Amino acid sequence: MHCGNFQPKAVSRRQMLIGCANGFGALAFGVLNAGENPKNKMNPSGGLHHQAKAKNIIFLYMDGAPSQMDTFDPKPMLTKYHGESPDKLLKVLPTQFNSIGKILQSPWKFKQYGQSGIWVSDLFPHISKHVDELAVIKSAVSNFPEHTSANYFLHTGSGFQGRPSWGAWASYGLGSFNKTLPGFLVLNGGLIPPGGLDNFNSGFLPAAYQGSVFKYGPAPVANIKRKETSEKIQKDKLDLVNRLDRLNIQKNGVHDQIESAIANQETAFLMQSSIPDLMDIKTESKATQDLYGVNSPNDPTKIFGTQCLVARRLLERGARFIELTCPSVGSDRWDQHSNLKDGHQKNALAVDQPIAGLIQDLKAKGMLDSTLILWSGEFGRTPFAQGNDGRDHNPFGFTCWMAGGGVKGGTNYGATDDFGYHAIEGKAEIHDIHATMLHLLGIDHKKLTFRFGGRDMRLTDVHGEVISKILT
Amino acid sequence: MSWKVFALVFPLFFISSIHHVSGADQKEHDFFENKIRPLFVTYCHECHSVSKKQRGGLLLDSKSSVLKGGDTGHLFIAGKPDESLLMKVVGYNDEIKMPPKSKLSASQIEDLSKWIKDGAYWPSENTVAVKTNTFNIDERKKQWAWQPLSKSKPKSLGSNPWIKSSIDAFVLEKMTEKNLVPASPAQKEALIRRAYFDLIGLPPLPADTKAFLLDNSPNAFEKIINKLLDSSSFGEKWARHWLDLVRYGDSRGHEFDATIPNAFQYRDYVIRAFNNDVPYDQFVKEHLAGDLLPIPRVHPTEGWNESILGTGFLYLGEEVHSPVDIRLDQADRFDNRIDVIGKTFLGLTIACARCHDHKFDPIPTKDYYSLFGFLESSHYRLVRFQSLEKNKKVDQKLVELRASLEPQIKSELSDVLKNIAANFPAYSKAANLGYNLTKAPSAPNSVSQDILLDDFESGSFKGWKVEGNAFGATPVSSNDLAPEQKDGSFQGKFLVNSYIQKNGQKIVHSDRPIGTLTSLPFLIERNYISFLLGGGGHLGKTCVNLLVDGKIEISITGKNKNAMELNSMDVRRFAGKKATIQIVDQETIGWGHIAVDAIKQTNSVMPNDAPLLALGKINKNELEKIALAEKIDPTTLVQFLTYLLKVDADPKHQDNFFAKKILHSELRGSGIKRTMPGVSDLEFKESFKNKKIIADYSNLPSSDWMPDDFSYGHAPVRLGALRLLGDNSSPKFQFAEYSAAMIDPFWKDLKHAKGSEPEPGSLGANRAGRVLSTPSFYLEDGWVHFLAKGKAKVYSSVGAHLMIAGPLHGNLVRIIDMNDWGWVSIDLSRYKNLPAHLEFSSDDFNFAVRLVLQGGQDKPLLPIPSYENVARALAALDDQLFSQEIQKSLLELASLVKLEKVVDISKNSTLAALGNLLINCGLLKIDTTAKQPIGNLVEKQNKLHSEVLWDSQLGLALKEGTGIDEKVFIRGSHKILGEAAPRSFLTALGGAKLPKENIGSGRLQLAEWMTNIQTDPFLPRVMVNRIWHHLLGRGIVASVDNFGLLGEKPTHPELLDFLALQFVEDGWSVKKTIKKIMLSSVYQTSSSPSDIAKTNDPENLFLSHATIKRLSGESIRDAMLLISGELNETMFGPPVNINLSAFQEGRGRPASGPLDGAGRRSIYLSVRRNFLSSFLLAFDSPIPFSTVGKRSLSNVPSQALILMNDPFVHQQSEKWAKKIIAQSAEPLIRLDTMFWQALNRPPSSLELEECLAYLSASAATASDFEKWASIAHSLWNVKEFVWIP
Repeated sequence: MHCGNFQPKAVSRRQMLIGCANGFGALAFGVLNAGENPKNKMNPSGGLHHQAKAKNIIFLYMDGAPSQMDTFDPKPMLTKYHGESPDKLLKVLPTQFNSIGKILQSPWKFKQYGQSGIWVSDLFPHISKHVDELAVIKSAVSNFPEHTSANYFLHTGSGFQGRPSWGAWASYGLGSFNKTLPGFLVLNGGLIPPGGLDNFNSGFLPAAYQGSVFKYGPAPVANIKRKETSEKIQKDKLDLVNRLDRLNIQKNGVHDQIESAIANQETAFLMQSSIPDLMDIKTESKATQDLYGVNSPNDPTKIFGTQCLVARRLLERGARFIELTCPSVGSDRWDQHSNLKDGHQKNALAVDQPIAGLIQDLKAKGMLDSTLILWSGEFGRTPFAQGNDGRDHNPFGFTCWMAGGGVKGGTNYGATDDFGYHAIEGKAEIHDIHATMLHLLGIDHKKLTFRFGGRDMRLTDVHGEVISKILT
Repeated sequence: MSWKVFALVFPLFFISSIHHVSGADQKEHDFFENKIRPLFVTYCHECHSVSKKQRGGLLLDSKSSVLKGGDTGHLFIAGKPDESLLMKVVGYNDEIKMPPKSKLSASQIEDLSKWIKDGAYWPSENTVAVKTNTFNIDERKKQWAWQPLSKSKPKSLGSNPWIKSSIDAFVLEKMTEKNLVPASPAQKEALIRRAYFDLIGLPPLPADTKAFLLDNSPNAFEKIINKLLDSSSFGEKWARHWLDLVRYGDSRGHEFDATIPNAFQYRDYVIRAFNNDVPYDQFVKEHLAGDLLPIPRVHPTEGWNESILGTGFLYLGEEVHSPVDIRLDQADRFDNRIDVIGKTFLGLTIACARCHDHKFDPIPTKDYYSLFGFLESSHYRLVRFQSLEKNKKVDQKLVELRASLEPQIKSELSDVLKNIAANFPAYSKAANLGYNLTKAPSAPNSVSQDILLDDFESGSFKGWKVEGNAFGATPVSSNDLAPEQKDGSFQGKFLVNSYIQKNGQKIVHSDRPIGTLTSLPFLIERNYISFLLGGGGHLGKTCVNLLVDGKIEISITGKNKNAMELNSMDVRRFAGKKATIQIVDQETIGWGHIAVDAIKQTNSVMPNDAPLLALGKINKNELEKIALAEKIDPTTLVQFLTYLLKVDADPKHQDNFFAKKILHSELRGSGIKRTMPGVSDLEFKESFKNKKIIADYSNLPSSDWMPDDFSYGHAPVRLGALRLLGDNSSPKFQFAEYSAAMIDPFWKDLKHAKGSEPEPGSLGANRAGRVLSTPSFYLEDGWVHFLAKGKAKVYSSVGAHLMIAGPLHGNLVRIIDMNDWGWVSIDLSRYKNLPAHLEFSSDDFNFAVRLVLQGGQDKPLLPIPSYENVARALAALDDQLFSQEIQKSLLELASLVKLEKVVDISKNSTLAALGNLLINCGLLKIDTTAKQPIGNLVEKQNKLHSEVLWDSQLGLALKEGTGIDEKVFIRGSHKILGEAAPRSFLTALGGAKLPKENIGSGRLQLAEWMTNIQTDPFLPRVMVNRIWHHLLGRGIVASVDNFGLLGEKPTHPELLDFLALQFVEDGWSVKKTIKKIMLSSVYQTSSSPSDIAKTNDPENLFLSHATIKRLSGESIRDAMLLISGELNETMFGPPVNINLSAFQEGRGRPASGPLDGAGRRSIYLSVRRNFLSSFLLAFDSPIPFSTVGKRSLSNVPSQALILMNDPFVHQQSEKWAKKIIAQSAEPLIRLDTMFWQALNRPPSSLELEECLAYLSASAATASDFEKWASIAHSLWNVKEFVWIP
């Protein structure tokens, strides 16, 4: 429970501020964790309420909603009844476009992989090699069949604009490990999800917890690049600011707020170099780059591969929550209202190798155990066609998977009905996924609250159950 | 059977089941204990047992509770599993699916079914105590905030000179209790800076500060306050506080971030209201019922209706682009509105009661749905607020004028009709004779042969330049046409059609692609170019153009019809010139296609020319002779004959039969019977007896008359009434053929003023002021039918969904264009059971709607014949009867126009149609000179016409609808309805109800209840607390939006009530309240806490010193603009797009605005939900989703990054530096000026030293300009600039 006033309490640096004549940027950073919520006391395990299994999260957001029955949830009945009218077989509910076609079989073959024998379609030749790391949840459900509402719901636990994104909640709860890196980062692969940047906002949480959208390149985030022509010019200027600030403090005394603001300026100064550095993947070996598909002839694979690699670098530098958005593949995002075969093929090609590379690399570096990976769209798709060769939105049952820290690899969890239309076993609501994610970070989702507008708000609202069966 | 019905029938079975249970045998007992009870325990008790939870009011752990059922009714009918709710729920066949996570196995479900079938045995047991509901309004009302305002005085004003007013006395009392003493007064420099930012959001100019420092008069500070309160910038600052409460935005967010049209008018309204110090209770009334106030507040100089703009706040929120479940979406949006209403005005979290009674406050769920009803009984509109009041006066005069002249007009009309009746046979005969003269032989007209430009039968576009992909590579084959286009109106096998896209063998039909076909130049050698044309009616976007010398000279657009029609271009004026034909499809939305075929040059006369040619052959003298012989007016005869000839040449014309009858003889005995090809009144009514009447405009209760302005007059037009059409300078007349809702042509020139924003998406432009709504109704089977004619856009407003665009709800908008009366049916079956109303909008005088029905897919019968059919039927009579019939009918019409009430609709409608026929053919003439009553009316109307304000900007507003009381949504689900929740005020505040005779929404009463401090102490308390919060940095109740149990307690309750009562006594004046607070010592203390204060009151609850404030993002930006000299003080108007960085991407991305926002104050920057200003967000400007009375105050590195690196900050630093350099060459003077401007004080000598040192150190590397821009930039990075002590 917190009031709305967020001011990081600095350990007193009053004397340093007043007495220090070393100039701007000379104070070691690390004195103050600007993003951290001062009232949340971590326990030694790194968790807030209990032992944490994962330190950080990578969310691979599959924008547009991949089809469950074409990826991880094979349905022979679709083949059996292919081309027949769904009305006789199912109670067809209104869809976004309401252009209900025939039952549509998957254009892809499924095979079982690994020791666990998890089914994967031919869309993911690389990921399929790592199924024994995955817990595949085949029974995810959303509350909204429209992209924007479902995106807000997936990201914030509410179908409306204005709630804090889960990354914001995570960094509100745990802060960042790195004072010059925001706790919640979004690596923009090119597609900003419908609903816009508000999917990554801090809502009523203080602005500090907002997702910082990074674009790959030398100036990955807004205002990170100084406008001055040399570092010295900027530093001299900030030195002057610092001296004027100190004169003012000497005259008028010091306020906590002003102290913090001075510290923030120093942090900001350092971020100007630390953030572009971490984007620089040239220092990575050719083998590593190839593993991620950074040098792929397919541009979208290249983009997503680079993001995955940057994500790993961010993990190494202590980011708390990293979300990756998809690259544009030339046709639509995973939203195949028509041309399912072509669209899904292209979208899968873009992410398959990079994701596999990420899993493999994290594992090799011993980081997978402390990193939770989540792969998910905002909902699933219909077992019947939209028009002839597309699939419409379906929030009633879809597949997502988790891997890494605290997740029992090689697990199948939940099930949809014979056609993959509705989840009927082990229904996993978005709130449950949120609760599970927080749980792995050492947070009890019921206890992570923020008082706003008269209520103790939670990411999971009044819902959410940890899906314990997929946990180690 | 639905569960609702089931709940009613259950008690019968209930008795029998008990009986059955008592006779249970061991087998049943074992089955229950082995199969059924374990199932309940394992799968249900987690949420439905006394020891755990009682979700949905249901317990499943005792016999009595199982029999009782839950919120949604009884669980089962013993013996009838198939009809039992429980089986539907576990079978996942109901809205509720249990157990929620996984479906039971088939065998478990079978066990349950068998258990119910066998009588639902449950062993006898002792009753288990059921948890009682803990919701107790009276108990909860004991909270402090629900108590009436108490008149309190400070214990004593005392002799302490610190006490300047009661406010100080109250504060000092508390301070003393805590052993605190007030800090010393703030320095004057600090005080004036504080006051300026607090009141106008800008720093004082150096001259203001210097004058204040020199002013030693005791009321020096008061003068400053007065000046600031009078400044127009005051509204710009305080309106922003208010906009935070009503989650102001300029766009609707969601998928495509569509514009909220004219939202900025609300923003401007708030600015004006704060500047004019509109009494707060009035302001609140305007928000809730500004459209209903008996005397609206008008703009003092412009005369606009201000009050109505207040209601627009409801529509400033997020809207969903294309919700699949429109009712859920409505519930969600209303929830947001109730949340905003509750928090903003009352500081109450009413929306917490959506799913269950409030967890902490005395607000039952039923109260929530009572408020829901007020919203549901009101509709959205764009209002012509600027012209409303002025035109209301004109409208009143118009009504009076017409009423005063009505008796005379009726009598005049009756005379005219009698006169024609007498003369008709003579005219008829004369016309016939005249016609025979035209048949005299003349030299055969040498008709040149047509020149075919292209009929596309070659199957190729040879000779055409093809651009874009709309038209494909070749003309399309008629085989590939979409079914709806295969009406055979094309010629041959091939045609041009941009709806069809061929992708190899695959054919797709789409409006999306665009393109152009351009012909080779050709010589114009005939009088006309004719072609067949079908497709979209988008002006200039789906059309055929004629280009002469590269310029578009003639453009003909489709009519939103698939059937192709013959069109001609009159090209006589271009004879001999070179021209090209262009076929255009540049539209991607609905009807974004075009079809063209058979393009020719021709001399064949166009229908309009035929009569003139024929008449040209007649010797005028001979016609005059005929007229003389028949004793009729020769001019009228010429007119009559001209009309007949014209109609005769056009077989499709509605009066063609009539002309044939008079001019030719061939129709006599042609077999057409003299029966009207329609139905009688009785048959007509019989044909829709299986339907429900939504609105019958021939017999409408006045409460159901719902136009949004004056366009439709004050009532439907009565059958037989004479309507004035056309230009007022050359009026035309028409008898109303039915009693129906019709546009009043008087108002035809209404326009939306330039800069006003139309509705985005398919509702489009020019709608405001022309909308007629039907009463609301709940859709039954979803079929709605209406009987209408003319052109109109018909919007089915379902569940208050705002039609933005989108694939889902296309059938909610229908465009009609009908020459004659016809039924239109709309299939809304996917919206069954939802509340709905229709909105007709039109600017066509011929548009009329008579009847709106719902139910049953089959259309009712068409009523009796109208216009065309009258002519057709008359034509079938033999000559003598024909004249007699017309004479007789005209006499009947003469008496009909004098009557008030229409009895025989069929018959009288025929008479009116006949009257119109006679007007059209020129026989029925009305004297429009002012001598005669009708002429008098025309003249006086013309005069009134010039008083109308035709242009108006539009504002978001509410509009009255049919009063609806909503039912409680059980557990918040719109699919599970509970008891009715009649509209009323909060139960805990007296629960006032609407009077029985109430019509409409009842919002006016709601506004009265809410602003009555006897019943509602919240309104003044919440507002003075907000003012206190903004001035002192912390509310007396710190949780400014929540005065409920979870909110914070007031630190100074007596002071709060004192201020609230003063506020009311001061006429709810915000400015007076502000001034009182600012004149107190407590506002004027310095921000340096004493050591005692630091230990005894670290949060400064007791106000012994001022709280340091951080400037809002808006103020930082505005102050920079002021200081750099770049502030553009223009007030009001459309928002300026914000400057977007490369990182701000996504659907609906608007054009990026200028870096400096055109120098406008931040309140005028656009607030697009999906593209919020990252500058402002970083400084905690709220995301506009619900009420935010207290912004969070973060202090983070990203703010520093903005101040260090944002291009706007750099730009302004440079602008400022340039001005400084130009003003003086002397560094010390420059620095002095800059410190005064940025910090309202002179630089100290040490500061000067630092700055000079910096300047000289950087002299080697930087130019003068660069150095001074750096100084400017530095001063904005100094913490003192942003943090106000």
